[in-house]
Amino acid sequence: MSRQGPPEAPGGLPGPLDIVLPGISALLAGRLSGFLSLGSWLTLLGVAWFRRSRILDLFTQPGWDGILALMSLVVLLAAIWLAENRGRFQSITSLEPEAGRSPVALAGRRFQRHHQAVLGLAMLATLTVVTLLTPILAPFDPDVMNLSTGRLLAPSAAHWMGTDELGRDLLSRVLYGARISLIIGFLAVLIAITLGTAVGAVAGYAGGWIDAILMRIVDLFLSFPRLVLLITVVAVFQPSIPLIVIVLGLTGWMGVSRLVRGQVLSVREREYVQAARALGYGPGRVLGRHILPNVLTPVIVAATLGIGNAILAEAALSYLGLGVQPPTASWGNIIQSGGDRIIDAWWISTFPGLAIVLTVMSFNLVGDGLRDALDPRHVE
Amino acid sequence: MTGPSALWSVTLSVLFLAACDAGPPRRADTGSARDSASVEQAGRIAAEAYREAVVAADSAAHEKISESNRYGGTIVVAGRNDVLTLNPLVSTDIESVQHQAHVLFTTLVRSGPEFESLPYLAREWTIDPEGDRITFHLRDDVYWHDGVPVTARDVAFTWQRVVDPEVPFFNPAYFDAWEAVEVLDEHTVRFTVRPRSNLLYGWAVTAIIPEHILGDVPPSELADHPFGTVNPVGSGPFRFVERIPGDRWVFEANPDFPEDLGGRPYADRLVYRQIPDDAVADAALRTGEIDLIVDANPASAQRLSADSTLVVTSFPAAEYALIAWNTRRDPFTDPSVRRALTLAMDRESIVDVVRGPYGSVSAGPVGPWHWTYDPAWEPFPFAPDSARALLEQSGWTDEDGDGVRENRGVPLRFELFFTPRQAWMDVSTIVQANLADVGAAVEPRAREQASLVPMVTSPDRRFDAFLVSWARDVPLDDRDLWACDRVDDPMQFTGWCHPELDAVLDSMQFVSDRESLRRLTRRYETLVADAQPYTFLYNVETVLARRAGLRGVSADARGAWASVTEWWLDPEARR
Amino acid sequence: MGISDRVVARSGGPTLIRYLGRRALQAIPLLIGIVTLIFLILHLAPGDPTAVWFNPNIPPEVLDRMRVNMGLDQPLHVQYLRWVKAFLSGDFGYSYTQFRPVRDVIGDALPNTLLLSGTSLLVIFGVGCAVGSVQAVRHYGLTDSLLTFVTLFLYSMPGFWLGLMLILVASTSLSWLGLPVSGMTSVDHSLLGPFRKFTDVAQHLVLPTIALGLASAAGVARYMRGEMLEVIQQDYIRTARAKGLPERTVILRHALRNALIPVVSLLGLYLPLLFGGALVIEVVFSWPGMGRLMYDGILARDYPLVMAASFLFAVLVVVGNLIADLLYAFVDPRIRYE
Repeated sequence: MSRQGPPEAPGGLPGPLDIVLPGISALLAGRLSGFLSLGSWLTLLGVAWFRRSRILDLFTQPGWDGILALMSLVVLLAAIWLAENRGRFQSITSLEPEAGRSPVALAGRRFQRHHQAVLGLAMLATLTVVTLLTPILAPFDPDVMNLSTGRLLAPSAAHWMGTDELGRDLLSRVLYGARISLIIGFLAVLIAITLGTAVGAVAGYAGGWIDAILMRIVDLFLSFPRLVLLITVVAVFQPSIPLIVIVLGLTGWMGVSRLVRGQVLSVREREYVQAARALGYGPGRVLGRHILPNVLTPVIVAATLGIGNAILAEAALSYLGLGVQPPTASWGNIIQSGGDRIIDAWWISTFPGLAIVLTVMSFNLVGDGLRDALDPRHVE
Repeated sequence: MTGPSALWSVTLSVLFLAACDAGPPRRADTGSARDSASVEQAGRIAAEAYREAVVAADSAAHEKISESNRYGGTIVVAGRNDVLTLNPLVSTDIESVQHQAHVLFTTLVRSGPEFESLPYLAREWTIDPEGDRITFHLRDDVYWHDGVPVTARDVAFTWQRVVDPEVPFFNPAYFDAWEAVEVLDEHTVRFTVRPRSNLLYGWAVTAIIPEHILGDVPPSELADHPFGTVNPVGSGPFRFVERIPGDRWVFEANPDFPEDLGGRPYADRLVYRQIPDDAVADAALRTGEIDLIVDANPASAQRLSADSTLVVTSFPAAEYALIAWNTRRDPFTDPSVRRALTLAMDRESIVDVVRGPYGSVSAGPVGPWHWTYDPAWEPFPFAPDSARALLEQSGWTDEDGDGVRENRGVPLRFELFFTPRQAWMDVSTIVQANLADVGAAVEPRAREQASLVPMVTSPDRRFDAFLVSWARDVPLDDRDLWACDRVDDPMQFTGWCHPELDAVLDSMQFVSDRESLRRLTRRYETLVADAQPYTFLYNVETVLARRAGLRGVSADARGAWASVTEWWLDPEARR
Repeated sequence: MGISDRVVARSGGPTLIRYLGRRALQAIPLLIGIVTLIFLILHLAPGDPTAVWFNPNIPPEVLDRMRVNMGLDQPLHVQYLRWVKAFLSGDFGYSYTQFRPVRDVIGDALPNTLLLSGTSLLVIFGVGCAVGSVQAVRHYGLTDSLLTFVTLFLYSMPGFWLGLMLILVASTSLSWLGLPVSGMTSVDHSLLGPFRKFTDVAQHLVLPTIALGLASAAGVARYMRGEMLEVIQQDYIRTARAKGLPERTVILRHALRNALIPVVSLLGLYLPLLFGGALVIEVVFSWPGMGRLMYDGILARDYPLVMAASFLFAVLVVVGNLIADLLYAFVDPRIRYE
């Protein structure tokens, strides 16, 4: 991979070919960005071509799903094109951006140097695109069964990942399952982060008995056998996606709160905070505008890594039968349905598991990269 | 497969021959006096013939191994459910009951292949001319494994405990007709009874317990008494050795078991392990860690039978799956709707998916395990067009074109509950698709059992429909499902009953000739089919998977364990 | 993290005992709180222990009698007080599902879980620290990159999925290895001599330990690598090298010791995680342990069993945290906290 100098307008001056093949000039000039742009452009067009009948169907059928997918496709293509061709719309002088000196830019550069983080980001981007375009990409309807001839087929040209015990195409189910698992992961982490940050910040900043009580509550939750809570909660309420999100969120905030508390403790005595307090700002404002922005670094890292953990937790829940309920597909419950037949129909449990591994890997890669990038003292 | 069918034909023909020898065998022990000697002789001949048949069928494909070479080895059996307790007074699960009746204890009588009562602990029995007293003459060569002889006092004690309302025996209805007991001497006991068919069936499944051990235990302490789980003492063909909780039960052959009853079992030791995971059980079978799976997963049966070192057989269990409709709730108050929904379901496909070849579509409460079963009778074939027509006629039309029918604005949408078993997930998915085809919207809802049961059994019946399967006794007594005077009982989920059905079911308990029984059973089936309070889905065939070196395993509706004393291991297959 | 926020004096002695005493005292209300919460949740959940016997055969009178025998007809607070009284006098009651004293049930299952978790802990920290150190020493080399990828892959894996894959492989391609895929002991275990018994259990431990421990070992390896790298950059390492000490001494005596400090603090964190993760592994491999016990118990509403098991779990977590804090304090004399 070529070493890059200070960032400049990706692509430089776009040539005439870039209208049809955005990024080709950059590629010929030896820049990685050109490779990425051209590559994704061609891939997306290829997908659109091979799935053209499906796209036509989506046009004619009503359905938010399909519309969202089509819009995403269009937006992505437009974004790539603009990225590579924006030189056309700006004068040459304004092509020179400020040499990035902001912490964000510095972080961005460091992120780029971390090869693995870039790989992770690429994987995540691919995953996001795939999730958005699932209605276009999925070769079959994930719920359509084929009880007579299609049950338990091994992976083949017709079904790349084989079929399950009801004849449903596994690849399509894995693709649609990605959305479920990702949404659950994101939302659960959102809840955990919000709750954990709130508790940790208050505990760290207030100190004294408030801190003591809050930390004891954290201990209580940590010492609580999660299983009892999970099973009983799922039994009392219905095992549904919102419930799983809430339950996962409520069992994951403790680590974040300790993290935030530690950070707040160390930042609390800094000069700018003391200055803010001296100025008479209320605790809310001090926390919100002065302390939290500086403690968010590890929180962001924790969040990224936490999404991976939430996906793993959802898989475990579904494997026990307490997670997403069939016939909705989630990676966890597909593995569960294939567990009985692991020797006969190994593909049912194997492929969703691989999908989980790759997804969690990409979140971990990005999380690691963020940690290295955002923490100037951390050694590679 | 040739093995079991050969076995069946040999058995039936031998029994027929034996019957000719000893006079017409009685299936229902009621009414006039019987020649007790004939009973005993018939029983012994039948048992001998049965054993021969088992041997013959098994040797069909292999070299014959002489009788004396069959002794030895440890047989390891695995099942999905654990044996929870060996105390017959408190156990409720099938695995425990089977182990009690066939492995560790003796029962007063045992069931033959046609569910006739054969002598076991009771050498013979006589019924008074008036038909209200039955006297059992017990064997005098059966001993408890601690050396104490089994006497009539044990039998009387067992009965007293079983019918005691303070004792949580799981089915006191077995002994509804048994009113009083009298111990005449060490080996003679007399009961006062009311006549009914299958009078002795309860004694075939209830193990006799030792009075000298449990006599002083108050009923409330029975459940936790160590007799059930730590040191059970039985009188049967196998003795208890040890139990490692969560892992296995170990039994060893009882060398003092009477020759007349089969003598010492072939195997030296019998081990039972609970392996709840099917894939793990399959793997253990292939590697030889276990010899037999008593309830194998039909999904893996095909692969297992492809392995030449394994043998897969099946037998019709008295078990069926059904959807119960809450007839107290709309739209299920209308029998036409229930009938239409049944017509809309592709039950063939459901059976194919869930059981493969090890099941059949069920049309009613009587299945292949019952002698009155008629496979040709199918009042509700798969007919989605008829279903749609029926729904239209009943006032359900799709007014707004969204694919779901409505009736005066109320959509045909309901929830289907079930426990989170893989089989139920598949069934509910297929049912959902089938019913969507005819305009009914089903929402599958998995609930763990402890939450589902109160929803279904509490008086307010908080459910629309639920999916369940259960096993029945072969001597059919379904009064607990339908009795009109108990229609609000917890287990009468549907709320449907029919006075004529009550009369039919009651009569079935007193009729002994086959023709009447067949007629009554048919009436039962017709009444239930008409009303469809249940949609019967499929009958279950239990799958047995074993290593080829394990012989003598045969099974029918009495369960896999009925032949346990006949099991033996090829000398090369022994560990 | 399991880092305490109390003053911990290095010298030990009476201060240490006071500290331990204080922590123990603080743990008591915690345990009471947990146990009460669990009791409430369990009893407020729908259903009761008789739900397991769902069969029309069983007359409702029998089920009602069972409920009375279990004391379920009493009001909630009466049941609670009765349980507390029994518990304090050491009587944990009888399990509804196993018809045996709860003490025996747990006594049988607990060592099995400890065996599995303990062995997994050894693997996690042994393998993890070793791999992490190797990676740090061979920083930027091929080994490092390869191991980084491998550890990342393993770390991102669901444990139960790994278990299923292991079963698949052990039953098919690697069946010649003869590794058992279920349970803790083989059939004729009781007939074996002591040495063979040991190897029998060890054989059964292989697959579940790998499934339980590999992902976490990868996590520890990643963490260890980071810590080792940070330590290696420090001045005192350079000094040691400059002094001419052999590389091995430098790494082992100086770098490793200092890198281990934060890693050791992970120990306390992993303890409860292991018990939680062990459940799914126990289910997959039919390992007769506490996880399966608790899971089955909750589903069957076996109140006495679940209460005792949860209490035990909470105690283990509290003790685990305490051990982690103490270890951290002992290992690093410089620790001072606010």
